[in-house]
Amino acid sequence: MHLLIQTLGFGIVTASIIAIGAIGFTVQFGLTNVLNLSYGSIMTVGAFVAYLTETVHINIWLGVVLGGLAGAFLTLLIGKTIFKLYASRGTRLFEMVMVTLALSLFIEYAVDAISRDQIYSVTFPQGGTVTMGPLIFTVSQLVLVGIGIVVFLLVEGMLKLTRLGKALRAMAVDPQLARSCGIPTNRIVNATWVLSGFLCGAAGVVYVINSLSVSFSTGYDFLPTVLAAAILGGVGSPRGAVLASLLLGIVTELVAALGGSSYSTVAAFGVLVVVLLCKPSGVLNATSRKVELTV
Amino acid sequence: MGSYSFYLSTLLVYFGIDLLCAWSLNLQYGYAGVINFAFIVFQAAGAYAASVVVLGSDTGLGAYQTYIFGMQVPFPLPLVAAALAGAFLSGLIGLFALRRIRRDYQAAVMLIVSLILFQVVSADIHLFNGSNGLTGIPHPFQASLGVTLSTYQWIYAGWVLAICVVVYFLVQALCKSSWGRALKAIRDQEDAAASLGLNGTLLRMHVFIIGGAIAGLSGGLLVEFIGAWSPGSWGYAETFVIFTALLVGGVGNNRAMVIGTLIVPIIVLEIPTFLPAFGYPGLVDAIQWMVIGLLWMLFLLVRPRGLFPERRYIAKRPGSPPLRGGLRGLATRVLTLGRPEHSAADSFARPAHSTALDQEPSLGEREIEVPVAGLVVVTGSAAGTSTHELVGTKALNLDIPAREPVMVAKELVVRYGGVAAVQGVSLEVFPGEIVGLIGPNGAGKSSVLAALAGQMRARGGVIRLGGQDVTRSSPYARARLGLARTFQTTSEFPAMTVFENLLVSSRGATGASLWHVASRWRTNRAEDQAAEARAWEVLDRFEMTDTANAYGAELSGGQRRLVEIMRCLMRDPALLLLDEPMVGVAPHLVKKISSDLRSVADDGIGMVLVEHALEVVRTLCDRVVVMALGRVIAEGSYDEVVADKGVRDAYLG
Repeated sequence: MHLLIQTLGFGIVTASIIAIGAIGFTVQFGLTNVLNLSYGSIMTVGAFVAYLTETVHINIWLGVVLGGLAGAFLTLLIGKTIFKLYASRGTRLFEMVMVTLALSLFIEYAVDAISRDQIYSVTFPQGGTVTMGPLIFTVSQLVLVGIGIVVFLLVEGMLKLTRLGKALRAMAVDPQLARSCGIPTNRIVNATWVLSGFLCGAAGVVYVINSLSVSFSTGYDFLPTVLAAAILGGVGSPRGAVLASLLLGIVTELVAALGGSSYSTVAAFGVLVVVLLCKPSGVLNATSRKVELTV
Repeated sequence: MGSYSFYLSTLLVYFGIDLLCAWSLNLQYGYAGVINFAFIVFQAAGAYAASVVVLGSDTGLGAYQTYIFGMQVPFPLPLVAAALAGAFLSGLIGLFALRRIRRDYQAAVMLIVSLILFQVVSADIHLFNGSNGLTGIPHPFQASLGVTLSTYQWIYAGWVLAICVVVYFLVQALCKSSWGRALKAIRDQEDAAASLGLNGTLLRMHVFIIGGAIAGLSGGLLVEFIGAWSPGSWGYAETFVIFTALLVGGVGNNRAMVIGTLIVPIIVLEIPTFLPAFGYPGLVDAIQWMVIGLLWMLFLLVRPRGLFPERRYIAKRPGSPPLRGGLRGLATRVLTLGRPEHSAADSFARPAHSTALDQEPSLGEREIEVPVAGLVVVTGSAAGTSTHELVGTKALNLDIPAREPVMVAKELVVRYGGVAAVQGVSLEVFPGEIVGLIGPNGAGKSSVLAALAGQMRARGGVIRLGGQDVTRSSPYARARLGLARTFQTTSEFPAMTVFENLLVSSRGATGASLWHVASRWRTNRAEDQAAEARAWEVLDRFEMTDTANAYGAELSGGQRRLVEIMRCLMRDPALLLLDEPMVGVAPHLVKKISSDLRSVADDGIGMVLVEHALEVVRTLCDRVVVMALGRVIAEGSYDEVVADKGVRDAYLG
């Protein structure tokens, strides 16, 4: 019983890490309709920023912000140049996913070339431990959970309460109509690239804070989980992404606790497969609505 | 000299194996539109399967490698095992990944699947020796041939290329068949394809399994050549090499795969072999992958269909003089409605056309198999219709008394989320009757059609087609029962020619079932010819003969509408649902189409016509149903409903 509760605690930590990435992904995908598989390689870039900040002895938590900024800059750059170029040439949705994967391949191996194909370890003081009833956390784990909660509340609040959020939601439903209503769609798209890019880069840093090592494939190891959470949670729904992250995080830790640590991520994907089998329409079917690229 | 011979023969083997992969992927992506980012997994499955059935039993714990099975089966059974493993794994993954989901989602799911399997195989030492992989897989016949390794390599290259030739002809035959055409239809417009009786999920499943078998075979050939296999051999990036070869060569063109495979896996990946070594270990590899990524992006930008894309299908008219199609030609049909003994499951396996033929073997087969010297011998008043006519008329007389409605809908309810777009609409259509469905925008007319045809699930009420309850049937099942429809936004197949658009709709040559096409390969040609003759006749009727070889995407809006209507009529439907068919159609054709529709109806087709052009409704419709805010507010003749006060209020607000 004690093990179960502790596992639940670890699950929440893992879920927070997944959720930061998944919220960014789902916001980006929900608005632009670009299923951006290069998201993983941007996370890698964020992770390397964390490594660099650690080597020059900048506080790792400041590194989260720096990684986020790097992600935001890179995502905005890619969105405004590459994705826009393809969209303007009539690239279709399913071709766009191939563009993003090819781009991801490029960035990933560029990082590989620069990082000399090595794995780097990231070490920083974990802080003491905190006992909360039956649960024991390190301070940094608690901070991770805190970041996850803050990110969720900020994004959710932004979408529900601010003018920007309302415009964003309107555009996600019907970009043409939104444009003709006088919403500055271009600026909204920019805001989306920046926001989702920031979360993406930050997610990379947060992932490294937990895993303590970084290589060119870090983002790619993490991307499937983020993707699974975003798909499970439903397009464009931060709340769904958080719930799905919780589910995946807890399942992952549960399987690890039961002795199958090498199967823990596999089990998480098992959840995705089961959901796909049982309820493909609820989660995934977006074919009835006409969707187009908005970049 | 010896080393060059060794290098070249190795390269030739890799070329053949990559070519097999490219064909497999072309079948899946080029024809069926499945973005299989998990491709390499199926090759790996084949390689592992071939290894474990040839290696003999592992010597238990403490042996230098552990794996499952462990048999010593003779050549060529390992290759059979490899193909089966690829096919089996494809079927398994297809169960959840090939549902009707957005194709970019599908791609993402495939990617996730490939990463999961990679982790499982790498982590589990008992399955295939984990990340260390399997070694010591013997070369088939190397000992008994008694030749040098160099000679053996050339022999093996010949063997691989021989398999390539066989696979090429197999793949090419499938692509050219009506089944290949059906694949293109689901790739281009799945909703429209379903409305022509094509089950997209099943078609995708079949093509996925065939592709998986070829991928598995390629893996078997590869592992018997290199003698070892480990997760290092099938990283997810390997899939991109094949994808890039496909995109460079030409999507949908099997011959172009040869060029793509020469350029990408052979030339691009082999160049570093000839360069002086530089940088740290791994740098060259990294740069290679960057080049692959760039090449891929470049082609998606500049030539997304490749250097030599799918060739346009050019239909040539048989040498006979233009046919005077005549109204009877258009109107003849095979009716399967009102035959409770043919369940949806029955027609599922066989196109309705052949179901009818089976009932009249002496008539049907004699009439169908009369092509002489490559031409269809046209008898009677119209091309290829004598069979339809005889069987159809008979079916009509026997099964549907004129007073029985072809379609009954009772108390239909359709909801979008919380909004009830249709609230309790009832509708009946009798054979030969044209029912107009009119109403202001947002009245729920298109939703009614979508519920009738099955694109939207009715949340309440009952729909019967010819006495059969189809409320829960899928769109393709309803189509096979004789329902045809057009869509409000035109849904021609853009990357198929007008002629192909029509052919794919023909019941005789629909290609809906791989089994049908494969088991009747002798008669396929005859079926195709009958369908072609009929397509020419329909084209004549709608003055569209000149556009027969134009792609759907090259047509004007009005022409696209016509293609849709023609496509429906190719099917000899019993019930035809038309959603604003006259939008964008030239005025003189509006009259002509109206009169055609009238004459088609006179031969017993029931129709529902949603139309805003009231003049068309007035001249064409026997009965008019007026909807507003999801309910029927009036019903009667055109003059009656126009005079109705409620209708005036609804329109004028």
